[in-house]
Amino acid sequence: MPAAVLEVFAGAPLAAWLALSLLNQVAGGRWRWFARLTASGFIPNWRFFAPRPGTSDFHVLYRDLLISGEMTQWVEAPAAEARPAVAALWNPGKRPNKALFDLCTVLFETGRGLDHTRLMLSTPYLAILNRVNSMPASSLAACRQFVLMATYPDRPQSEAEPLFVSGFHEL
Amino acid sequence: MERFLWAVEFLVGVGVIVSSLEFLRARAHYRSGGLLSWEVLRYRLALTARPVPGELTERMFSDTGLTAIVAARIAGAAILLAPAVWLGEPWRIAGLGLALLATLLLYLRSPYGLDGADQMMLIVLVGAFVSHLASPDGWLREAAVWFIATQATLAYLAAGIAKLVSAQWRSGQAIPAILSTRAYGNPLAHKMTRDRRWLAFAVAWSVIGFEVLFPLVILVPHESARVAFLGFGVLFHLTNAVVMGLNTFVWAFAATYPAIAWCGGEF
Repeated sequence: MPAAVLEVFAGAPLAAWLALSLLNQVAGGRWRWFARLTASGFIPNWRFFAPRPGTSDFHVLYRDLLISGEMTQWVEAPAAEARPAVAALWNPGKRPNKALFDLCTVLFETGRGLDHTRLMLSTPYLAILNRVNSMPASSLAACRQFVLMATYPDRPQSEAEPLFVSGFHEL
Repeated sequence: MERFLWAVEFLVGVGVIVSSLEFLRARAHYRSGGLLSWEVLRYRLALTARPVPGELTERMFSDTGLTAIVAARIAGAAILLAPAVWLGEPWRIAGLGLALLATLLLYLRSPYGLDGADQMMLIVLVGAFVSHLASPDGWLREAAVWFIATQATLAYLAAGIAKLVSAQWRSGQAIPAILSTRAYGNPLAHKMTRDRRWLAFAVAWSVIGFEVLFPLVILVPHESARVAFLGFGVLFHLTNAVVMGLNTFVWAFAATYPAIAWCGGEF
């Protein structure tokens, strides 16, 4: 096969990738098939912190239903690591922080369009449930429930906003 | 073009090593019971949800397997740090190929938690890899460098336009609000911009102006203006690293600058 043809084969994916990247900036989220494609993470969305900047902190809380029928207090699942003083060079906590942000965002957004059964089988739901269920539990606990909360630190007067409440799951 | 490409590969090599070491440090989140446990995330894709490829990936993405993938990524990136006269073309292709393959596996493992720096590093690795596969005097080598430069320019322009159409950004309110968050905030910078609205306004419009005008960096005819613009870009990312903890963006986006500088010179 001539080198020129091989070069076309190697160059075409670059052109396609660039075209899809451009399309994602101007029409991202408009079509379901395209949203599925961008969910892979390969097609970049370059609209950093815009047009609606992320101004909230997400929190995952859980509580247990005891065998006696009583309910425990809500407990916050530990957040990702705090940012180190040398974060300009070394910031390993940003990946789990971003993962929690991504999962909460997808769960909150898809949660509005799915019935409860399908939602409970979605990856973000299962990932957060798996994390919450790995937290220690009393031997008297029968089921666990979690809630996603958003707080707005720049608005100290505003209350924490519940974004999503799960069902109860057996421990 | 060779020295520009070497600079691209050196900078992305550093970025890949830093992000890989950070990945290793945070790998508890990828273990069983972690937020990104493969026991759950494998059901994200129809292919890995099936028993046969699923079991294979169980081994590949086990704690040991994942560590090996990240170690291979570091080894590939380390080759890119060597001067081109020490390690020639075959070594560089091997280094880029190894780093690229490991990066693709990490994408398969979990897109959750990846950020714009990861995406830009993938773009740079692919562009640099293709440039080495092309014949030295062929069009594809130049096209691969243009691919890196165009993606970077698109990134800044898209980010700038998205901010320009946002009332929160135009008013400057977005700055203290973002800086108040746990993930990207900074208590001192938050207090400064919350108490001085003019400062938040100035910061917001500096960011918007820089990002929207970024494509000019390729169009300006003077090399000194191009260097000054790219220098401002480095300063922009360093500031974001210090204030917001976006450290890998420095390496990922600076890696595109030699490609942009070459394209600007050719334009």
